Amino acid sequence: MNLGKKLFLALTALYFTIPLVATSLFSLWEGGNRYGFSGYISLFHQDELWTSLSLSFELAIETVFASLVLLVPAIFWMHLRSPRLKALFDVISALPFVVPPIVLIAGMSALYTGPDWLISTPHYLVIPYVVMALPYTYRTLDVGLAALDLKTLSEAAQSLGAGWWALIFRVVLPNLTTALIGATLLCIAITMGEFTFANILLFKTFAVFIAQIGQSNPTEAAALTLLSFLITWIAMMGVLLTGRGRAEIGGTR
Amino acid sequence: MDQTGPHMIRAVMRRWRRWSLPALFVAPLILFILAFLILPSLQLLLSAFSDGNGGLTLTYLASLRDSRTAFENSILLSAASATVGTVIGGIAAYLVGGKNSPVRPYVTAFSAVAANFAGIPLAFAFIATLGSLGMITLWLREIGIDIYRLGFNLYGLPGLVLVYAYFQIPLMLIVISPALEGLRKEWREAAEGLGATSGQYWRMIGLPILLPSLASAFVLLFGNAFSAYATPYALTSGALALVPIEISNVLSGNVMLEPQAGAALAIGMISIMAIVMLIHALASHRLKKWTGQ
Amino acid sequence: MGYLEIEDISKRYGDRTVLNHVSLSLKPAEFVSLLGPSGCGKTTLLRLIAGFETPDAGKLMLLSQDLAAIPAAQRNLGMVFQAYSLFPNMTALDNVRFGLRIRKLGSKEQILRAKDMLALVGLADHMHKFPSQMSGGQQQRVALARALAIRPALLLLDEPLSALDAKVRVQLRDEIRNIQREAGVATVFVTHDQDEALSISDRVAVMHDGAIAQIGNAASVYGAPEDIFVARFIGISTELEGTVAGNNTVEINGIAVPAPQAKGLPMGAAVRILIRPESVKLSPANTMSNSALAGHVTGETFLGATTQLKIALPKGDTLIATLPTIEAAKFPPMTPVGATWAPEASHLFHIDGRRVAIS
Repeated sequence: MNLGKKLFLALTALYFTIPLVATSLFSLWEGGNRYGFSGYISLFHQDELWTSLSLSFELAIETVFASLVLLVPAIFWMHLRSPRLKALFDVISALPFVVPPIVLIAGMSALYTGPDWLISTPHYLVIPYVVMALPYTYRTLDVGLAALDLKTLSEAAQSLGAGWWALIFRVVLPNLTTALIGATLLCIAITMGEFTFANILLFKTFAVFIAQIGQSNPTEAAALTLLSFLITWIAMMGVLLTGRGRAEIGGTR
Repeated sequence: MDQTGPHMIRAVMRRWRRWSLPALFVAPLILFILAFLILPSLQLLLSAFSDGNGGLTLTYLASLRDSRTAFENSILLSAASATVGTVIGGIAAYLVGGKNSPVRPYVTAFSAVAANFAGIPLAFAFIATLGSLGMITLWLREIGIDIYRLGFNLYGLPGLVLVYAYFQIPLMLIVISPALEGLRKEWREAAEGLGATSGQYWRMIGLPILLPSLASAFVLLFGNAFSAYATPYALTSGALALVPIEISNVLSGNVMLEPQAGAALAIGMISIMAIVMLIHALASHRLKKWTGQ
Repeated sequence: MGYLEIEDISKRYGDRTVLNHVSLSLKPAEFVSLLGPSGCGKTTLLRLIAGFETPDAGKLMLLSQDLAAIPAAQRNLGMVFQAYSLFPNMTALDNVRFGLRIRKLGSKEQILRAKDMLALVGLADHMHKFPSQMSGGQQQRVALARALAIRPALLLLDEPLSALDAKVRVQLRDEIRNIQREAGVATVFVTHDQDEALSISDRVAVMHDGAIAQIGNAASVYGAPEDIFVARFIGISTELEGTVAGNNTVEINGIAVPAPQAKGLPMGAAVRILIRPESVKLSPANTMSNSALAGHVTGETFLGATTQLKIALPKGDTLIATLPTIEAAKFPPMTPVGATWAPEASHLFHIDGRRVAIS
C-alpha cells in the first residue's frame, strides 16, 4: 500500500481516536491545571448514577424479553409454516426506520394519554424501545432461525411425541442461544444509549442523566461518556463474537 | 329442525381452528406493530389535517412553509453528512480490504461500536475535543491558532457534519463492505491483463458495478442523519433549526404551536424517510442482478 | 531460444516453496498444458507469466524480451479465468471490445473485430446479451473471444472448463483447441483434469510439488512415465511391490515375472512395478504359465466395448485388467485366473520413485 493510502487511513484513524483521547483527558480535568480522578470519584458517589444506570439496564432486559416474546413465535411460525409471511415481516422490520424515534413519540403521545399507571412509569419506555430495536432483533433472530432446518427438526420432534410447548422450549430455543445472546446484547447497546424517548417523557435513564450532568459538570460528563463507550464496546464485542463477525447498528443518533 | 344452522356453526368452527394456531404465534407481533407504530403514525396523519374541531384542513400542512429553515437545514446537513460518509467511508472500506485483510476484524469491531456511540456521549466527546474549552481547541490556542476566531463553530452546521461523520463513516463501512467483496478479483485482473490502468478499471467497471450500492448507501446515510435527534440536541441545545428539534420543541411545549403543527412536521419527516427507504430498497434489489448475490 | 522461455523460476509464499526451479520452453503456436493436482504450482506459474505475481528467482522471456521489466497491463497476454470471467455490467460485445477500447482503436474497428471474434467462437447472435443471461459455457467462449481480440502474444487459460458441466466441458475443450489452432497463438492451459490435457495438448507438463515431473506429448506421458508420480497420476494402473531376482526377472509374491528393465539392478533390490490395465492378459488358472500371478476375479465393471476386471491377488493386492467385453465374459467373478503381461509393457521404478533406467 503506497504512501497516499497509508496517509488516508492514518488520518481517518486519528479522527476516530482523538475524540476518545480528548474525552479521557477531559474526564481527568479538575479545573485550572490540575488533573486527577476526582471527577470519577464524585460521580460514583452520586446515587443518581447508579439509579439511572440500573434503570437503563432493567429497561434493556425488559426490552429483550418483550422483543423475544413477540418475535420468536412469529419468526418461528414464518419459517415453519408460512414462508409467504417473510415479505410482510421484512416490511414490518423496516417500518421503524420510516418512523424515527422523535416522530414515534409524537404519535404515541397524541394517541395514548392513559391509563395513568402505564404512562407514568418508566417501564412504559419498553414499548417504544421494542419498536426501535425491531429491525435489529428481527434480523438477528431471523438469521438464527433460518440456520436451523426447522421443518426437519420439528418433524423429528413431533414424530417422537413432542407437542408445541416441548418443541419450542426443548428443541428450538436451545439451538437459538447464539441468536438470543446477540439480540440481547444489541438491545442492551441500544437501550443504554437511548435518549429521545426518555428525554421527552421525562424519565431518568442513563443517557438522560449524562445530558443532565453535561449541563453542570463537564468533567463528570466526559467520564460518563467514556463509561458509555465502554459499555457499548463490551456489548458489541459480544454481538460480534456470537454473531460470527456481522456488525449491526442501532439506537439513538 | 334447521339443517343449515349446525352446518354453519361447524364451518365457522373449522375456520376458527384453521386460523387460531397461526394467530397465536403471529398475532401478538402484528397487534403490537399496529398499536404502537401504525396507529400512532395514522394519528399523526389525522392530526396534521385536522382543525381541532373535528373538521379537516390543509393549513397546518401549509404552515410547514414556516419551518422552511428547519427543512433546509436538515436536508443540507443530511446531504453533506451523507456525502462525507459515502466518500470517506467508501475509500476507507476499499483500503481496509476484504475478508482476508489483517486489520479488517478490528475495523469491523470499531465500526460497530462507533456507529452505536451516536447521541449524547458522542456529542460530549466532541465538546471535550473541539468545544470552546475542548482539549484540541486549547492545545491549538497554545500554539497560536484560535479556531473559533477563525470562524470554526462546533455548534453550527459544519460542526454537526464533522460530528455526524463519526457514525456515518462506520455505517458506510458496514454497509458497503459486502458490495465491495462482490467486486471479483478476476474482473480486476482481467481488466489489467487487457491493458487497463487502475483509473480505467474503476471508471469502466468498478464504479458502474458499485453504483447501485453506493446510491443505496448514500440514501441510508441521508436518512440516518435526517432522523438524528440526540446528537444535535446535545450540541446545540435546540438552538439550530432542524426538523427533529422542531418536533421536540412542539412536544415539550417550548413553542406556541398547535400540536397539529408538530404532527404536520412529523408527517413531513415520515414522507422523507419513506422516500429514502423506498430508494434504498429499489437500489439493493438492482444490485442482486449484477453480482448474482 | 523458444517463443516463451521459463528459466529456473522459483516462488515462495512465506516458508512454503510453491515453484522450485521450474524451466519450460514453448514454441510458437504451441498448446502446452500444465497438469497436476491442486497445490502443485500450476496456477502460480500461469499467474507469474501473466504478471500478477513476481518470481523470487529466475527469468521469464517472451520473444527474447525479459518480462520482469514489463507490468501485467503491458504484456499483451490474453487470459481466461475459471469463473467470473466477464465484466457483468457489459454485454458480450462490449466485453470483447474492452481490450480494443483500451488500445484506442477506432470505434468502428472495435465493433468489427469484436463481432469477428464472437463469430469465431460461435456466439455472434449473443452479442447484446449480458453475462447473467448466458450459460457458463457461453460465458467462457466470450471470455476466449475477448482474450483473442487483442491479438495477444500468448493465450493463458486458468482451468477455464473446471466450473462447467461435464458434457459442456468435453464439447468446449475441442472448440478451444480448434479456435486456438485457427488463431495460431501459443497457449498455456492449466488443468487438473488429465483427460482434458491429454486430448487437446501438443505437450503436457505434469507438475508435482512445485516442479515439472515430466513434459512430453500425451503418448509419452502416458506410455513412458519417467516418475512414479506421473505414472500414478496419469491413467489407471496397478502398482505392485517386488524384488529383483536373477535372469531379468522381478519376484512378486514369490512368482518370478519377466522384467527386462531390471537388468543392471542388484539382486534383491526393492522395486515398484506398474502395469496398465489394457496390458494385462488373463488365462484360466489351469492353463496359466509359471510366471503368471495367480488370483481370482472379485469384480467387473461394464464399460461398453471393454470391461474392467478386478483380480484379488494373495497378500491383499488388487490387479486391474481391462479386456474386450467378449474376452472378459470368460472370467466371471470368483473365477481363478492367472495374469501376465508383455515384459516391456510394465514400468519399473525404484522405491524412491525414479524410473529404472533402461541400460
